[in-house]
Amino acid sequence: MKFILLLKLVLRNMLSRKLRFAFTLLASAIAVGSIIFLFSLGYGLESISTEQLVKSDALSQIEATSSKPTDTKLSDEMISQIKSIGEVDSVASSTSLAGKITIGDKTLDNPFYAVSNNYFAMSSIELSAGSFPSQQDKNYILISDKAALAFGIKSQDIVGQELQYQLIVPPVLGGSDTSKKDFTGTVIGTISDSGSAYAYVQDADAVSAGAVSRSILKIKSTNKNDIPALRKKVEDMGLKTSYVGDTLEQMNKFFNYFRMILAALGAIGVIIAILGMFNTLTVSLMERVREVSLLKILGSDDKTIFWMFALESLIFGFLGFVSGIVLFLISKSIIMGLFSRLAERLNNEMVNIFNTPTTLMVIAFIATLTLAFLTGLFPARRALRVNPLDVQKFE
Amino acid sequence: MPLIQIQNLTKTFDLPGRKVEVLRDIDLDIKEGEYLLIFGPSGCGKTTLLNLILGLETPTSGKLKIKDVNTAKLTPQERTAFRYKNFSTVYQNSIWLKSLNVLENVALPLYLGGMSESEAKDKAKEALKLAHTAEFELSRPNELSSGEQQRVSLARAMVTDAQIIIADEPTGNLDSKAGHELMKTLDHLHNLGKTIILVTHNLSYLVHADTKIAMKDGQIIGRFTENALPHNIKEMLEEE
Repeated sequence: MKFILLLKLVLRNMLSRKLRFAFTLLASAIAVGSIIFLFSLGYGLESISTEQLVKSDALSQIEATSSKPTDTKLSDEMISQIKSIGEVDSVASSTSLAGKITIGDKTLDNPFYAVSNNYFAMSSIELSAGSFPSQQDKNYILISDKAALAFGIKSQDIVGQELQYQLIVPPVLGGSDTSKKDFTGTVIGTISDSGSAYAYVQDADAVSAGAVSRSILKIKSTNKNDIPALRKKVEDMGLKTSYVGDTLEQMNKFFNYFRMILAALGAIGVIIAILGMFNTLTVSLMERVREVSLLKILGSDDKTIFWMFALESLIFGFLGFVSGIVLFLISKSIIMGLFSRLAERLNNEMVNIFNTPTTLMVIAFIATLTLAFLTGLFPARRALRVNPLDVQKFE
Repeated sequence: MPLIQIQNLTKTFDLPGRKVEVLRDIDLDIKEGEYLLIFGPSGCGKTTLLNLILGLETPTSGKLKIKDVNTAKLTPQERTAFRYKNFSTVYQNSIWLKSLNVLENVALPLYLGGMSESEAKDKAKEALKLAHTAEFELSRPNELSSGEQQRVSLARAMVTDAQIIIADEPTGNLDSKAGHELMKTLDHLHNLGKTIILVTHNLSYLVHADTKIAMKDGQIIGRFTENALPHNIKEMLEEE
């Protein structure tokens, strides 16, 4: 029989039992839709979590701290030695200090980070107002939104203002109990952070206040493939290193387990759909034993009989996949619509919690059709064993 | 050479704990274009004989040749193809593919043979006209009366233009008028040169066939060409 005729025959038969067809299709659609929904959610949450980590070339740089701050100082000499390593592209430093900020007659305690001018380019710091310093800028300060708010000034309004600040250098960084120094600086920008109050000043201020060691170094590699070699060389100098890739690896492992759990949940729906389809196809065969017998008497070959049932399962699989995608898109848009309203109300940025890679869709499509075909295999093979003489059984 | 040659044909069924001999020493030649009527009491082996001729069963022993082909030696797929090419069937209870209309059901054997839909439907329309059922083309088979369904069943039997038509109690569920109409169509097909093998309980149809054979207990007990049942055969049928 020509394939197109067989397909028409199969479709006609499927649609002759509309309710049964609809329910079987619905079960497949829910199974496919829920699997794609859960996996998309898993990938989406992973993307959100790892996005911050991989910003600003984070995968091409390591951070170094002193493993024994009393013995090994992150001094200028140490920085020069690190810069001479072949795999190093650039080094930025940050020194954590305590201090105070004074604006007018108000003084507040505030943590400070005295950084090299290239530090900002190697970090993921975002500004809410103003700009980062250039290489030539001196006597500047950047404060967080929270710090500005503590003085009752809006971030946009504090940019350009002059203020006084005091840096206190702890002994571990080379200071003494009295290592303090006052400075005057101009606010050139505000850091987008309304959760914590802190400020960034230039590295020269810390040195001027008596610091001989930095708290942390950011070391950028010429090539992210050189990271392992770079880490080894820096660690051989007595430093401790950390790399965002380690965290990323842990997160990938976590999300792999997370996706497995989601898959297990989705698998429950898939099993139910398979059982439903199997039931539909088997009942269809049992109802049509005489029809199959007739076809054999009329001269139908085994291939036609087989594909009459196998095609039915494949059509269920295909339509189930398409319907599942539709269900997923509908549920996704409902959820994202709710999130959007919530984000608007809270004045927050909208976040997309779903990520549906093309490979996921391709794998889901192939898996759906394969499972559908395997489900239809038993009834199809059973149909081949129908005795043509069954046509006479009801005579 | 006869179209169908049967020699010493025996068919035994193996059932749990026993063997049942349904046909024993059947000898029968059927010529091309012959109209053969087979009758006998229920359980005498008529349907089994038809099934053997159709290739739906294989003989336990003996020879069965159709167009000089020993069908028992063919594989099941080969027997299916042979059956498609050479036979058409009409049964007592019409069987349809419920999802298809009358025209499509009649065209079904042609679909199975690989013919295109449009060509198959054209031939099916002709067959329906011949069977005087053209007006039911677009109806569903189960919407028709028994007589109408049987006439459509005959149209389906005609559509492949097979040489041999097997009719197993085709009038079994019909009233006399509908039965008469069906027999007229079979006569017409016979006049067109078809070989007809008819199984029936209705002895009023003896007049239609060229050759009649009586069966009892798995054997042929009589063979005649007269239009009335010979007395000796009648006695043998009535014996306990």
